[in-house]
Amino acid sequence: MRILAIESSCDETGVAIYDTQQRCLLANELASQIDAHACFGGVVPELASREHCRILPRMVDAAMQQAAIDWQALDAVAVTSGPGLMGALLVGTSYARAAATVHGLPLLPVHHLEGHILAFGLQEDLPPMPMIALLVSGGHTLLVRVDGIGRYRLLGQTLDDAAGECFDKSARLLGLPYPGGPHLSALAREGRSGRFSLPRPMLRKDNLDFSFSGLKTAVLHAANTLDQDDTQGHADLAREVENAICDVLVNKTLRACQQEKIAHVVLAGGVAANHQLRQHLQQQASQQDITCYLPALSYCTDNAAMIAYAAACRLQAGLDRQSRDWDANPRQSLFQNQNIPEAYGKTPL
Amino acid sequence: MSRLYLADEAATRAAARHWAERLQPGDCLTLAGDLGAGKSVFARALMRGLGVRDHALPSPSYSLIEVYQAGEVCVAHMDWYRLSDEEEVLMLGVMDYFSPPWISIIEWPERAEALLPRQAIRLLLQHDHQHPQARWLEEITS
Repeated sequence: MRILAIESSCDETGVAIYDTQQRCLLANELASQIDAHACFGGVVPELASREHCRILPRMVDAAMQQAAIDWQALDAVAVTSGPGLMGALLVGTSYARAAATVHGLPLLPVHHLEGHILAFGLQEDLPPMPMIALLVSGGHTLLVRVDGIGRYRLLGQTLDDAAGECFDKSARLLGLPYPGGPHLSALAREGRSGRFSLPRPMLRKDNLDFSFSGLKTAVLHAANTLDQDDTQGHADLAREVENAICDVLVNKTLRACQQEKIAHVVLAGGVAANHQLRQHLQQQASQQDITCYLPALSYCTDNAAMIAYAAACRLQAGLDRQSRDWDANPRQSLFQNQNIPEAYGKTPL
Repeated sequence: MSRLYLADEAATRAAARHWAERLQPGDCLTLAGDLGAGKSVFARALMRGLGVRDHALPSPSYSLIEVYQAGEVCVAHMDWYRLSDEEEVLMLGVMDYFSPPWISIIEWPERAEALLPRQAIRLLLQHDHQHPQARWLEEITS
């Protein structure tokens, strides 16, 4: 079975084709909009939608060429249905819906975070379940217990800012350009430990939740003590920011393993590409006989390959409900029981 | 124009709770100020004051808008930082949040001042140059 997948929830446009028999990608196209948004210091939602709209058809053609197939050789279309930016999601879902209808193919909506959680399966067998997933990105910071495909339980989450947001905002406070996270990590490599001491929020709390907004404030105060031309000082602070974020993430993840008595951890999401986080988690997990599963960097950041793969997993698990009763949902939950106001549905968002 | 001195974060939260008592459905409160000036601290305390009980109050920096139910009242917490102009803010459907049952709280309102309701409460948070923990809160009247 061959699945064509489209991802357009934020600022990456992705198109991929996955073959379930061969268990491999036939095509994996990705276009980043980072340059387009850099001058605004972040993703500009409407600009993102326009850019998705402009390049998506071309990317589907390119994916078909790369795979050397046409629409007749496809068996299903998968698309990210949420969460994300409404305008951006709508470009992908509208295109996918139209293409599936025209070519008479089933359409499979995929939750963006499910794509991230399962992304490791693109390179090797998925870890044994149950497993713990640490999902970290610009918009999310979650610890999830995964009991199987489609069976997810929330163990902990950020109570305010996401880890990726803390990276980005700290970078802004240090005068670094967008996207802040990678720039901050690069600067941190030049930094030395010891000069700054930032808090490790929530470590003493007996739960699996995170909080990064106070850390951001501490970074602000530390940054204010630095002279403009103190490049070493900036690097030292960047290093401490990275250490503080990683310490909290690794510590809580291992605590989740202990609490749930699970010895398999998968890392997922854009921040999972962070070298320091990967190294710390791997080292500390191995000391506790916990196995870490780290997706390749290109499968950590947003991509369509993970959407194709998640759709394939769902089909195999018998979870494909070919219902037409769904729509792009910027707040789609991976879990149930969300407290969303009734009046919310009356707005276009 | 009077400015309120907030000695620390606890004072910022207390000021926010004070404002929460005065807000009615249909009200819009905007929070201007630099990164780290305390807008999010103020917004979260304000939402708690309005009766939002959700365990997590995630930052709207990425999602642009987070919505909550607090009894009869609905609360929309927005961050317009990443929006470029009025047209983009309009695309969010923000006008719907300016009438009951909604109370709207908007960070970075500078992106689309013209769209705000005329009676919007406009607050400005600023750092104190002597004391790193301290802030100044000011209500802007035009």
